[in-house]
Amino acid sequence: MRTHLTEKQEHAWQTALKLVEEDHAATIGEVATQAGCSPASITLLARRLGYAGWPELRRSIIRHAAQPAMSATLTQDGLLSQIRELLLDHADEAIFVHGAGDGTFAACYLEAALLSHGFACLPYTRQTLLAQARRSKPGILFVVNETGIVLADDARIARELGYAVIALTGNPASPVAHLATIPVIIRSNKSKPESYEPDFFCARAMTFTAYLKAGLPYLFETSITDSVALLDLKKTEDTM
Amino acid sequence: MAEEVPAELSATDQVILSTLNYHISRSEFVRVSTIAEECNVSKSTVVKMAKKLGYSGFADMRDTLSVGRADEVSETFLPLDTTEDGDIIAAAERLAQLFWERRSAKHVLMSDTSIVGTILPSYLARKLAMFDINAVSTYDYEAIILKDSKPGIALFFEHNIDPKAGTGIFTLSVARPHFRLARQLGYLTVLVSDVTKETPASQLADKVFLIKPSYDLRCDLFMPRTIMLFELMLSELSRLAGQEAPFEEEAEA
Repeated sequence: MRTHLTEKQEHAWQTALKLVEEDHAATIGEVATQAGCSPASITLLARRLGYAGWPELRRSIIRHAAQPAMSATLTQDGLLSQIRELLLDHADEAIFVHGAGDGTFAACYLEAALLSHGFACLPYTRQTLLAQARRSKPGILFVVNETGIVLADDARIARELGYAVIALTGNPASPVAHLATIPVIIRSNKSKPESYEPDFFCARAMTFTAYLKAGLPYLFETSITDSVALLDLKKTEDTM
Repeated sequence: MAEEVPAELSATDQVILSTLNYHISRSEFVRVSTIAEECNVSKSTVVKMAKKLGYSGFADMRDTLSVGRADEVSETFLPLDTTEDGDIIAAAERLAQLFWERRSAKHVLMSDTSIVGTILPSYLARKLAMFDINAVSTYDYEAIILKDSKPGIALFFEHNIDPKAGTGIFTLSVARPHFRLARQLGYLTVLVSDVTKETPASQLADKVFLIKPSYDLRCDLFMPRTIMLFELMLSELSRLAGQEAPFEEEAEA
């Protein structure tokens, strides 16, 4: 339960919440001006709420604002339905899947899943992203990156070109998550080499793909995966 | 951070972002001076890049991007009950022990043209390299053949590729010539499989790790479940490596 606040403090708290949720970079000065009090009052408010100061309070607001952005407004099923609808809306356009780090493997898995349902997945390069946007209507770029940092520019370019961006990332506060049309926040551990913590980001992203695929219609009568698998099976049997 | 699409990032900005990413992904607290030094740029260049992305400065960018790193890990999209016997930790410990006992040997992780055979061996090879364990993801006979190295583990995957089949009749099996060669050369043959019936590979393999099948779920969870097993195995390897370190120091002393 939150500490009892005076009327002015409650007003400053609500102002801080509103401003930081709108703009994660909101400063103590902006909050103070908007709330009609001094920056020192905001610092006092932060301390009264149990934080060391404004930066820590702001981080806490960002953290709590970012999580419900996915989980409170969209259930797992709702999120998957939304992405399936977006995919079907772009069934005639190019789909790109781009990953980094562990996300490279999850991206490869997602690309295979989409291809198996008949979606027009193309190998990602910035050149092909641009070329496809010029040739036809821009489609979708899936970005799979745990920290959500290194592929920020790719997401930005895609948005500028008119692509819908779906980001699978571990960090709701990352540039990639902010740039995404639909952010899918998949939390996980990140280790230091001297003490390896199991990192389930890739496993989670693949599970997301498996669930997405399970409810996704085939754009053609037969599954492309089945056709390829039959070929693989035949080749395997030939070597036995 | 601003919602609108930020300004274009330069090549230098990309380097700065990658460097910051490296530190954040290792859960390290990093100062603007460190980033500037590592990227060979001025501190103001780093700050300008942060502002370009919509942050008030470097500290704001670092703190915002680091949010949640140590938070509670949610259970969203996690394929639990990974192994057939339900004890994934025990399976991970067994697998880690096999690699640890042969850590100086050469290991082969058999790949093929299927999506399973493309992704899983590469994923594990990349991670094992963090522990200085030499594992090659390959489909080549030449890569299996030993020259100056000792035989380690030859890891194969066997996957029921049709969730509807149920009985594993539609199975992507181990390529027998590779399997035979690995056995002849003295590798410990390890099979990771979700095929519940016996197959030629499961009968001949030295060790079998059974992943829980997902035929009944209308979705194929073999890959995420296998990666969970690998991740827990890597964590156990880290623990074993930590135990080893004092002994090595004692030996040197």
